[in-house]
Amino acid sequence: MYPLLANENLKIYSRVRTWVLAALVLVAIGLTGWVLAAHPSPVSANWKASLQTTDASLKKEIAEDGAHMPRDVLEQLKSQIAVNQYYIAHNLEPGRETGWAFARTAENIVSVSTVFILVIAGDIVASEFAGGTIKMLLTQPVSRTRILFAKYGAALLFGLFLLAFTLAISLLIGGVLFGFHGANAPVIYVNDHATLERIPSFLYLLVQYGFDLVTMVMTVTIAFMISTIFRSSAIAITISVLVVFVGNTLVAALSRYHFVKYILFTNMNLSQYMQNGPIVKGMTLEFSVFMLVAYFVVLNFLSWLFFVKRDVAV
Amino acid sequence: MSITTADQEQQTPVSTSPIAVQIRHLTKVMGRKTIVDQLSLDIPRGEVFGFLGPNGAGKTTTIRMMVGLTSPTKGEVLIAGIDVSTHFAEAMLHVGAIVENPEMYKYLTGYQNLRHFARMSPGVTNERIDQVVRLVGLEQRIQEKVRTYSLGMRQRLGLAQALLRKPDVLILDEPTNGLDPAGIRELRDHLRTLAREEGLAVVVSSHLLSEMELMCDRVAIIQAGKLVDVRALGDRAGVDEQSETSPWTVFEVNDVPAAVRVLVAHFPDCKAKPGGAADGFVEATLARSDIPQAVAHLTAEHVAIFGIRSVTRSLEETFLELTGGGPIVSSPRQ
Repeated sequence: MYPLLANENLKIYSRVRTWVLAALVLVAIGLTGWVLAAHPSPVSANWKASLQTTDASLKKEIAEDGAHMPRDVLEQLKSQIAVNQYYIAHNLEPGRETGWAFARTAENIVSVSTVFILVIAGDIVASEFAGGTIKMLLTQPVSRTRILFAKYGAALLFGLFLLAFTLAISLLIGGVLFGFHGANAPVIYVNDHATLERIPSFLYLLVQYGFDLVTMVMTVTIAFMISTIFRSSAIAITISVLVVFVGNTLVAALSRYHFVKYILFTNMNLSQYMQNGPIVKGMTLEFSVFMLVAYFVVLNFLSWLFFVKRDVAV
Repeated sequence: MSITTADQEQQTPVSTSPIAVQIRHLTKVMGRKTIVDQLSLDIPRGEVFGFLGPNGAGKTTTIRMMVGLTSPTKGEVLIAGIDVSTHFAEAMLHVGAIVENPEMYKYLTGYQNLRHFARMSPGVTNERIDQVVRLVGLEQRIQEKVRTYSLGMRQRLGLAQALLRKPDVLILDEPTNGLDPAGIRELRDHLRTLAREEGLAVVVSSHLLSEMELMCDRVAIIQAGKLVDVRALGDRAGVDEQSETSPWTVFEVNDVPAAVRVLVAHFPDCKAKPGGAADGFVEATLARSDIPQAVAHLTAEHVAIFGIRSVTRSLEETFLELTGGGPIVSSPRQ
């Protein structure tokens, strides 16, 4: 198995494109750091008073428009008020930028990394068809199943690499710009039972990346399946990106309907069980994990079926 | 690595049969169209074998079924006695192939490409890679990106790839596509050497008659998915007796209708007919031993004979005759 994986890695990392994508992640994080360093949030002596003012205006907004707001927006506003109250009560000054706090902010860049992972995973089978190399690849003394497995493994490894790269670069840039301290500084958030939780920054970051890892595996699986079925890089990449982004948006918009909980995208982000509560009321972590495993099996089976059983007509 | 090699060799039954490829009742149906229809053939080691047929006759589909890219609807392909459909990986250990254009990874160097494919075959050492590079004459450019290669060089690289695991059968689909005359000549010499000296069975396909005539020992003529004829070519390897079409004898005479009448009367199977480049010629398929008698009969019937010669039909004539004349035959119903 290892030689096949080595081949797929060779094909991913020999292409300039792969490194351009990694460089773009670097640039995105660098820009975020530069903006935050250039415009630090004002540290005022009476930060408690300004938090009180913010809370008051948020409460007013809820009172006036609360009835018309989507549920998740409302929840978010309420959480913010609760977190602000906690800061005031415990005399913790928010907004002080540290390397670890920056890494938490830069964690949002993971959605950019995910698009790039989609590009590689969506291309890994399709490009062999587009370039005609599939005919050479599939006339070697290796079964199609093993070749497909190696490609899937290589796509997952790239996803792992880019996530690790995003984390490492955000810590590095954050550390250089704001100092490497703050690993144990508390992060305060509202958990799914609407109570406040307090955990160290480094742990919070690791848990977030853990959730990102699950999302990444599912994203790679979707893109890989589309790549295998459509056999065209452009179509595979476009459809994968569309499916993932439209999917997420659609789920957010339709969250009041019960059937939405059976959609993959509703279950893909497990952080909902740590923070803010599930997208659809009544969903549990066990349910989501079950759905993810079911989708994982079905999507991979479809990839395998299309790759192994279909005639190559390039 | 050595462990895998040993395992692989144990799994692979070593065939002692001189037949490298056996095709049995091979059939491919796509939708309502039969692309390949009940094809049966044996291809021995040491022979350059050609599939010849007009575009769309089913040559490429046949070759794709031989290398497992397409699955047969019915029938089987055995390579060194191993069924391609059921034991794909084992069968492919004995096959090196280029299907249509030699597409390699353009962003890798020639050497990286060969390393890539070498890793997929058990027991291909770096020495073997160097050896095939020398064999196809790519030493100078092997460390450059394939993007910079000409078509001829890609063809050579493709051939190197196909030879890496010392196959028993080399399968090349339309190998001369896009090659210049010098390239074609070079490829031809390569293939003949491989068949003669290394005992490979070389299978090529083409729609170009002249090329096949120069390259192949035997040719299967395929039309509309059916095997029309298998013919040994020229005086190569003394296999001419196997040829199913007899050579023609051409008589130059003073009275063509009379000569035809006389020949048909005495030799009912001879297919005598007016022919040749100009008037005054009669063609007939006669066994060599029948020629003196035919001359005697013609003379007795007062037909004056000015000349007699024996003509082997060129492949082109046979091909046109067998496939009904049209150089491009579209399938009957579309």
